[in-house]
Amino acid sequence: MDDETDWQNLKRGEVAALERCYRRHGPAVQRLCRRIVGEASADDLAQEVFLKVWRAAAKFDGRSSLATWIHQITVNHCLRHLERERRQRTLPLAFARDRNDARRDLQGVDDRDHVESLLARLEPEQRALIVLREWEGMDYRRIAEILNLPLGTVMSRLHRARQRLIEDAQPPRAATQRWRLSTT
Amino acid sequence: MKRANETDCAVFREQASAWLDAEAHDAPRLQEHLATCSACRAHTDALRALSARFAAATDVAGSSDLWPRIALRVRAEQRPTRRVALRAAAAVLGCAPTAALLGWLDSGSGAWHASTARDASMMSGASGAGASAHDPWPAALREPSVDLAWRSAPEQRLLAAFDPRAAARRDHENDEGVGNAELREEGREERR
Repeated sequence: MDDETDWQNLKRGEVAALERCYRRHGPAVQRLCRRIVGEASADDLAQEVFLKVWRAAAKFDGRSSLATWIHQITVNHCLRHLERERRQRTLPLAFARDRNDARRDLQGVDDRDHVESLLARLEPEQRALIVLREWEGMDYRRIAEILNLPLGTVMSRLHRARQRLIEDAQPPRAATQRWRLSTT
Repeated sequence: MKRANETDCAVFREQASAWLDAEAHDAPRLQEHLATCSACRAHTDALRALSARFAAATDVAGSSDLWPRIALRVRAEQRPTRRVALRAAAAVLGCAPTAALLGWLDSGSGAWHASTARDASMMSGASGAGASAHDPWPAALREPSVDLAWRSAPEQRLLAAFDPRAAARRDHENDEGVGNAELREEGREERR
């Protein structure tokens, strides 16, 4: 069964349709949650996303694809979660990852740790933008649709987010030198 | 190599990210600027390196199956709704036979009506509409509670005086104006 059929069945409150929906989009939702909020809360958030899909299926107007709608819910839910975390003055990105995970090679862990620590310094929306573009490989139009932003805004905010990542990735000494050069 | 002006650099850097993502509108002009500006080339290289770093840091962790937990929560949410629906259905189904029964009674089933009315009057102790014209006493008051036939006359009078049913019969007579030939006769004898 395709998304359209599943959506119609979801509207009627069919649990089997939700399961098919989860089987089709669940891994992407879990991955997106993990990338935006970190592993510690990712599974809980992904569960809540599907509960939201279940509750709101009747409200879905079908203007976008079901996948885009689920991504919208996922990103919004993750951003709200990050906002709540920030208000509670906890660390912005709780990357409580299992470092002993045998599936990860050591170099990969180092890369991920570094990238994730860089991401943790960004604003939640900038983080979502970077994740959607760099890791999910979405084009600007899709990102604009998911974040409900104009295309130009996606372009400029992505530019600012990358600019910030480049600055943060530089070692402090190099950054100081760069600052000295720019002021002279 | 001529030095590109700063305005061009600002415009390029604003667009460089989109240009690398193949989303820029004015790609030829940006490429032209890149060929002439080493600072912007360095900036573009930094952007490329950043993307490469993200590509290398792609996580490979598998996703755990969340469906059992989702299904549990969906069922938990469904339960109250189902309970309300069942209650509503039970109310509708419960009302339907009652309504049918009331309708049937209203349509005038004489036999049931008469017997029920009689039973009701017997139960309440009042003379119902269905009570016999020859028997003015309600059923509950018809028989004396104590068999007086074999007792002596003074005993009979004493027991009758304290018999609650006899008292009730008198009250009933006073309230409803129903005569009792025997009692009237008895009263006459006493007066004599």
